[in-house]
Amino acid sequence: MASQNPWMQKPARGEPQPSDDGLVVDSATLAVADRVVLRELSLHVPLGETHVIFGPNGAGKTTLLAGLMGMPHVKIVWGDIRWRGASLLGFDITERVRRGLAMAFQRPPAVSGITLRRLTELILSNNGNGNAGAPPPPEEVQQRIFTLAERLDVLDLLDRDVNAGFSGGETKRSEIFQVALQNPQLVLLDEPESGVDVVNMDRIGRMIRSLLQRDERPGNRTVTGLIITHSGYILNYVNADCGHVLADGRIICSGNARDVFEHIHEHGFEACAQCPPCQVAERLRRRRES
Amino acid sequence: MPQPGAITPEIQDRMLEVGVDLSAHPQQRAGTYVHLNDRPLEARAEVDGLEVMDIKQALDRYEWLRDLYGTAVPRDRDEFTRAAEEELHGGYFIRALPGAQITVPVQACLYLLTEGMVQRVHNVIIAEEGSFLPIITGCTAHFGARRGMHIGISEFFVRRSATVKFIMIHAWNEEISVRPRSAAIVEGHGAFLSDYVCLERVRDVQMYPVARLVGEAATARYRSVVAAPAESNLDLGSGVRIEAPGGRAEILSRNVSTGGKIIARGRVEALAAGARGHLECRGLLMSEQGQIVAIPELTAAHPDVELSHEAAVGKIAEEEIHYLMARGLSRDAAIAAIVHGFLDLGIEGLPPVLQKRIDSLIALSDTEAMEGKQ
Ligand SMILES: Nc1ncnc2c1ncn2[C@@H]1O[C@H](COP(=O)(O)OP(=O)(O)O)[C@@H](O)[C@H]1O
Ligand SMILES: [Mg+2]
Repeated sequence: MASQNPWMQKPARGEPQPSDDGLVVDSATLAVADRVVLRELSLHVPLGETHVIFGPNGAGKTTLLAGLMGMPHVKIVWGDIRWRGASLLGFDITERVRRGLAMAFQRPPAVSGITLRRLTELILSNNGNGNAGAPPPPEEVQQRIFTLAERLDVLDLLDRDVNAGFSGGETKRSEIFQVALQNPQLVLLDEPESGVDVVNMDRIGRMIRSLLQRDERPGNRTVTGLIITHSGYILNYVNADCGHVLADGRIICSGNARDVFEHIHEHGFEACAQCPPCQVAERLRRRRES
Repeated sequence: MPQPGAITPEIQDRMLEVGVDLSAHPQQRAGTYVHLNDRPLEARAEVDGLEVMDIKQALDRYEWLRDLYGTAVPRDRDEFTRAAEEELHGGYFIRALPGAQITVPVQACLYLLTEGMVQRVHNVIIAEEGSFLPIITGCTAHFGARRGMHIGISEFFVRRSATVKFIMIHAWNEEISVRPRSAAIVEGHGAFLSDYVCLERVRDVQMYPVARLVGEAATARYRSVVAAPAESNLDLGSGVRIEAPGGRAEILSRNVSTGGKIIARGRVEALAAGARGHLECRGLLMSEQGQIVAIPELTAAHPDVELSHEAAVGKIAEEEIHYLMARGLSRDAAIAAIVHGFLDLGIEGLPPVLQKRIDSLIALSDTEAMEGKQ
């Protein structure tokens, strides 16, 4: 049965270099409010690749990204999360941003008293991700904000308090806008397209595509991505390297992103549960055991 | 200890913190009033259509003022108003003549220089018909004067179609008690706009300024931005009584406790047709030692009025801190950004030094400890 699933036939790649093998979630058990949400989950996104995650509501997709980002409400009770060879577990959110992580939230909180413009100024005063180096001069800051804001159609949002009364689509554009200004190396996107109309889907899709360097040759890509998607629309813009299905707190299936998506589309998530463990998880397990 | 009688550079620096800049070019202020300890030092108008003098001098000059004096704040209202009148030190008389449009604020400073001083002042502000009168008043104490008391009576008379735009900034010391007693009477189509800022430690401040809207379509707005560091006690309120048709009242307050106690009161009484009032009180508790009490009161005594209030007191939402951290801000920078945003009511004309005060205030908070208790 397994051999008949074409999406399981992911072309073999060279074994990842342990020193710099992108994002590795190694047998991680994540709990929220004293309840285990993800159990011994393993996932590997090699450097420069973009993977997507599908999964039913409540599967723990947002929890996974929150755990990667270091949100304190998610506790890593077992296992490890490594980025470019180093464990992230001892680092707080800010320190992870400094290491290149950035996340677009599925449902970001409103922050009253801080406008979107003010927040983006703060992002740029940190040089995007808090790395050393002089911040750009004020005129350049405003210019970069304007150019990107125009591209994502968020000019009208700049002088409103962040996320206060933003519509679903406005929230998504504002999140991608902020992430793009962060100059990230590991881009985590939590349902970037839900609630977005066709025109804006195009804006967001193109921005994500360029953020993740999908127009570069695979060997030249330096930005790594992990995208949670419910609708799969993002696949029209980003030819992801791999798709995973997250259900029951585990990755239950991995393969060609489009194939996995179409299979879910036709047969639902229930059918995924019938599949054997995915190859990526298998590969990690083999490496651990060796 | 500096002797009363001269404005030393040290005194000037302290005045800057409450928005009074004596070194600025005279064109940057319409008039000046400086009161040191128990005596007036300077009282001067720089522009036409404006009068600035000491209240005693004004009472000598204008017979009609003697009838007006004490009509907004009764002299025997309480022990403090009585104490002020028994041994009055002075105070400012500021008057915009009919139609005068004063473009830059009158700057007034009430300065408590000497330890143990009990300052007693009585101010009268009159905006005659159709005039526009901006005033910034800084009330402060010298760094050496730890103990003391300030009793300040202020009576505002806003005539028909006139506007008073009043900013009061307080910066006291740890053992000083402060008792302002203030009231405004606003005539038809007049506007009384009052802003209050107090961010530094003080022993206690108790005040409840009230505006009466006695003419049709008059407006009163009170905004206040206050912080209570440990051992500060602030009992603050603002009230508006809408006595004539079409009056508008707005009371907004932002209160931060980093260990002290704040009682934030507010009251709108609507007695006439078409009255509209809104009261908004927000409190941010940044220490387990602190306390914030919000007491909003609305009274409707006419069927055709619209009154509302909004009150929220709590700590900074961790979710918001984490969100800003995910944008690369440190935890401290995220908290600072949130508190600055919280306290920003859009009051124009505040001295830049207040932003730094807010930063040092945040440094005194213990949100880490509060988070640990979650
Ligand atoms: N802050 C929280 N407190 C309690 N339970 C939570 C919290 N966040 C998520 N959960 C629970 O964790 C599970 C996974 O949620 P989530 O990660 O948001 O799922 P998904 O993103 O896949 O829809 C759900 O059962 C949800 O109710
Ligand atoms: Mg989710």
